[in-house]
Amino acid sequence: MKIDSPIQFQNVCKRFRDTFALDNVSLEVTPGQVFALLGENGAGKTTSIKIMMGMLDADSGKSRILGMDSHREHLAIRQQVGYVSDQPSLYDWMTVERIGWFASGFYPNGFKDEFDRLVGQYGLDPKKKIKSLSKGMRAKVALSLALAHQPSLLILDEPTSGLDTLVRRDFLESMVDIAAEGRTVFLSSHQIPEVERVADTIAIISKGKLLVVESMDRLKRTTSQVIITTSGELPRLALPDIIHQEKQGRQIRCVVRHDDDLDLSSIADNPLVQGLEVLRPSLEEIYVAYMRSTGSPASSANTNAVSDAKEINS
Amino acid sequence: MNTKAFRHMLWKEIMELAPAGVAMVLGILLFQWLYCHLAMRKVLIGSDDQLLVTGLVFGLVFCIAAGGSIFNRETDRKTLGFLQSLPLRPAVLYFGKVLSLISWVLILVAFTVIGTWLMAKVYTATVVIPKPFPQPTGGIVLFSIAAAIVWGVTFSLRIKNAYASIALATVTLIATVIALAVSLQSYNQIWTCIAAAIPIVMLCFHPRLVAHQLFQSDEPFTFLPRRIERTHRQPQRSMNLIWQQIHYYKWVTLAALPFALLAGTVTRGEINSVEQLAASLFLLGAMAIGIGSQVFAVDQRKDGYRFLRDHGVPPRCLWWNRMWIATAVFVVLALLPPVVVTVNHLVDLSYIPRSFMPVIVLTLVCPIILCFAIGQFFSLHLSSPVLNLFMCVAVSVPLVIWGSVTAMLNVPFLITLVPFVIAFVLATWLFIPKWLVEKRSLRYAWPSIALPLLAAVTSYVGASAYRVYEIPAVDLVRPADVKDPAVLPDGYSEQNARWTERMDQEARGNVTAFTDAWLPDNAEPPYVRVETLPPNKLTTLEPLLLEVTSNTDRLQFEPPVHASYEDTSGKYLGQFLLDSALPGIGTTNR
Repeated sequence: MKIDSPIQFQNVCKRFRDTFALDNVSLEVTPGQVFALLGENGAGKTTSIKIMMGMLDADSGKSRILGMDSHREHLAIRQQVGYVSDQPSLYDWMTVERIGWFASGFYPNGFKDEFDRLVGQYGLDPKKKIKSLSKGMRAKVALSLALAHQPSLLILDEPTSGLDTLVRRDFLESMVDIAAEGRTVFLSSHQIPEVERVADTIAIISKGKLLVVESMDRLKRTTSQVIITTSGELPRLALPDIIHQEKQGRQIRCVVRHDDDLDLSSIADNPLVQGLEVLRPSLEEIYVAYMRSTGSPASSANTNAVSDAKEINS
Repeated sequence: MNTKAFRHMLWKEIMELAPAGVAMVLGILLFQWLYCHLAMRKVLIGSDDQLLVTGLVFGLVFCIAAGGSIFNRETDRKTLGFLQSLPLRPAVLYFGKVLSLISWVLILVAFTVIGTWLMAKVYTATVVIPKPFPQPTGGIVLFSIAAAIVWGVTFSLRIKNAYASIALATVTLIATVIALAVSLQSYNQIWTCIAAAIPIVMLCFHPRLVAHQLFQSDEPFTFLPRRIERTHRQPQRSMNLIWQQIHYYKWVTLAALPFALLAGTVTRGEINSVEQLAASLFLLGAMAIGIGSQVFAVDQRKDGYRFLRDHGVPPRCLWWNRMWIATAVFVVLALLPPVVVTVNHLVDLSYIPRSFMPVIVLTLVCPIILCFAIGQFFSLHLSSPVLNLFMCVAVSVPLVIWGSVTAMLNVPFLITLVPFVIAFVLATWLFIPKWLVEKRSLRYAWPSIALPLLAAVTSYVGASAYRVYEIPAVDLVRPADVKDPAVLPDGYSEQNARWTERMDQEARGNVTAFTDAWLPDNAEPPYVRVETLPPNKLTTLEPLLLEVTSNTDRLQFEPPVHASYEDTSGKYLGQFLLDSALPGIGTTNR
C-alpha cells in the first residue's frame, strides 16, 4: 500500500442486517487524479464515502484518508477534506455570505476569505438567500463550502444528480481544474457519459463488490466488444476474459478484457465463424457489461439473452 | 471546546428559534394585557401570582415545541448532511442547541417580568415581588420547564418526525409533572425523588443519542471492531472484550447510579420499615433490570455478535466476559444503598435492630439478583431493546411478588426465587453457542426456555412442600368458630388462643426495659397499644400495653413502626409492630 495515497480502503466490509453494503472492498487512489466510483443505486457508493468520512463505521477492514484513520480521526479528516453529500441541503433562511460565515467557525482562519473568492468566481450573489437560489447555484455554494478550506482531497457523492446538462457539464469540468491544481477528486456517480470526460481512474461497484478499478485509458484500451456471426453452434469461445456475452440469433456479442493486443486468430480460423468484428466500447458499454455480468436489476431486461449466452459459453 | 465553533453554532440556533421566540414574547405581552384589562387587577403580583406563573407557562409551551423539534428538524430539512460534512463535534452541536433553547427561555422570563412591570405602570397597580417565589405552583412550573427541555430534546433525538416527538414529549411531560405534583401533595418524598430523577437519567443518555442518532457514530458508546480484530490475532482476547464492555458500561452505570443512590437515600437512614424496604426494592430492582438487560445488548446492537462469530470468539468466552463485567457493575451499585445507610448511622449503628438485618438482606438481595438474571436472559433472547425491557418488567414483577408473598409466609427465597436465578443464568450459558451461530429457532432454544419453566415448577412445589411442614394452617383472621387443626407445633395453639383475646389480655413477658429512642423527640402518648407481629416462628409474644414515659405532649409517629426489645441482660426477646395508637386505653404492666 502506498503511503502517499490519499484514500486507502483495505478489505472493508459493511453489512446492514442481512444485506452486504460493502463486501471486502479494497481500493487506492493516486494523488492529483479525478477518481470516479460508478455503480447503480444501492451499489454501495454512498456507504463507501460515509465510511471514508467516518460517518459510518465499517464492520471490518481499514479505511484511511490522507493517512488518517476514518473511524478515530474523523474530525481531523473533515477538517482536511472537502465533502459534498449527495443531497447538499443548506439552510434556506441564511444568505450565501452568512452560510460561509457560519461554516468558517469550524475551520481555521482564512476560510471566509477563500469562500468569498470562490463565490465571486462562480458568479453568485453573496447577499442572496439560499432559498432564492436555483439547484445549480446551490450546488456551487456547496462546492464553495467544500473548497474554501483548500482541501487536498475533495469527496463528492453524486454531485451532479438533479442538475441540468449544462450545469452538470460545468460542474464536472471544474473538477478537472481542481485536479490540475494537484488536488485529488473522488466522486461517485451513475452519470457515465459525464464522468467519462473528466475521470482519470474508474472503479465499478455492484451489490457491494468492487468489479474493476482501472485507469480510464487502460480500461478502454484493454476492453473490446467482439461480435461473432456463426453458421452453427460454437462449442466454446476461446476468448481471454469475458465480462459479458449474449446471443442474438446467429450473432454472439461479447465484451472482453484482454492484454494490449487482442488475439482472435483461433476464433477466426473456426469454420463455423462466418464473420468477426471487433469494436472499441464506450465507458457506458463497459459499465453495462459489468453490471449485466453481476445480474444487477438494471440488466434484467436482457436476462434471457444473458442466460442463453452463458449456456453457449458452458 | 472550540469557542469559535460554539459561538457560530449558538448564533445559528438562536436565529432559528427566533420566529417562535418572538411569537412567544408577543403572546406573553398580549396575555398580560388582556388579563389586566379584563380582570382590572390592581395588585399584580404577590397576593396574585397568576400573572407571573402563567407567563412562565408560555416558556413551557415554547420549550416543549422548540425542544421537541430541535434535532429532528435537521433531518426533516435534510440539513444534517451539511452539518455532518463539517468538522463539527457532537458536543458543540448539542450544547449549541440546548443553550440556545435555554437562552430563549431566559428571554421569555425576562419579558414576563418586564410585561408585569409594564402592566403595573399602565394600570397603576401595586407590584409586590413575592418572597419566596410562589410555591408550589411556581416551583412545579420551573421544574416543568427543565423537564420539558430534557424530554423535548430526548424525543427529538430519537424520533424523526417532529410532530410525533413533540406529542410524545408533551405526554411524558404531563405524566412527569402529575407524578411530581401528586408526590408533593402527598408529601411522598420517594416519588418526588423518582419523578425528579427520571429526567436526570434521560439527560445521561443525550451524549450517546447525539453521537449515535445524528452522527451514526458509536462514540461515546464505543464498539470498535478494530479492537476485536486485534483480539483475534493476539492472545488477550478476553482483555479486549473487557475493554469494549467497560466502554459500554460507563453510560449504563451512569444511568443506573441515580437509582442506586436513591435507594440508599429514600430511607434517610430509616431502613427499618416495610414501606422503605419496598421503595428500595423498587429502585434497586429497576436498576438491576436496567443493567441485566444490557448484558448482551452490546452484541445485539447492529448485529455486533456477527463480527465476534466471524472472528472465532468462543461463545463461552463471550458469555463470561459479558456476565462478569455486568455483574461487577451491578454488585458495586447494589452495595451503594447499604453504604449510604451505614454512613447515615455512623454515630449510632445499633440504631438498626439486629433482628432486622437478615430481613433487609433477604428482602433486597435475592429479588434484585433475580431481576438482573431475568434482564440478562431476555437481553440474549430478544434483539429489540424495547421488547427486552418490557419482558424483563413483565416477568420480574410477578416473580418478585411471588417471592415476597411466600417470604411473608416464611418460605425462604432459597426455595422460591433462587431456582429462578439459577435457571435464567444457566439458560444463557447453555444457549449462547447456538445463539452466536444464529440457531435460534425453538428447536435449538428449547432447553433455554424450558429451564425457567422447570424453575417455576420447582419453586411452586418447593414452597408448597415447605408450607405443609413448617407453617400451621392458621388463618390470621380465622373465624372464632373454626377449630384449631388437630396437630400443631408446640406453643401454637396457646399462642393462637391468646391472640384472639388481643387487647383484653394484660401484657406478659419480661419487658424490663423499653427504649423510646425510635420515637421523635416530642413524641408523647401516655399510653399506646402495642401488638406483636402475627403469630409465627419469629414472635411468640402476646399483645402488650406499654407506657411511653417521655415526651407525653403529642403523638408524632405514623404507624406501623417496627421495634424490638430485650431483657435486662440484653438478650433479644422479639419484635413488635406498633400499628395503632389509642391514647388513654389503659396502663402498662411491666
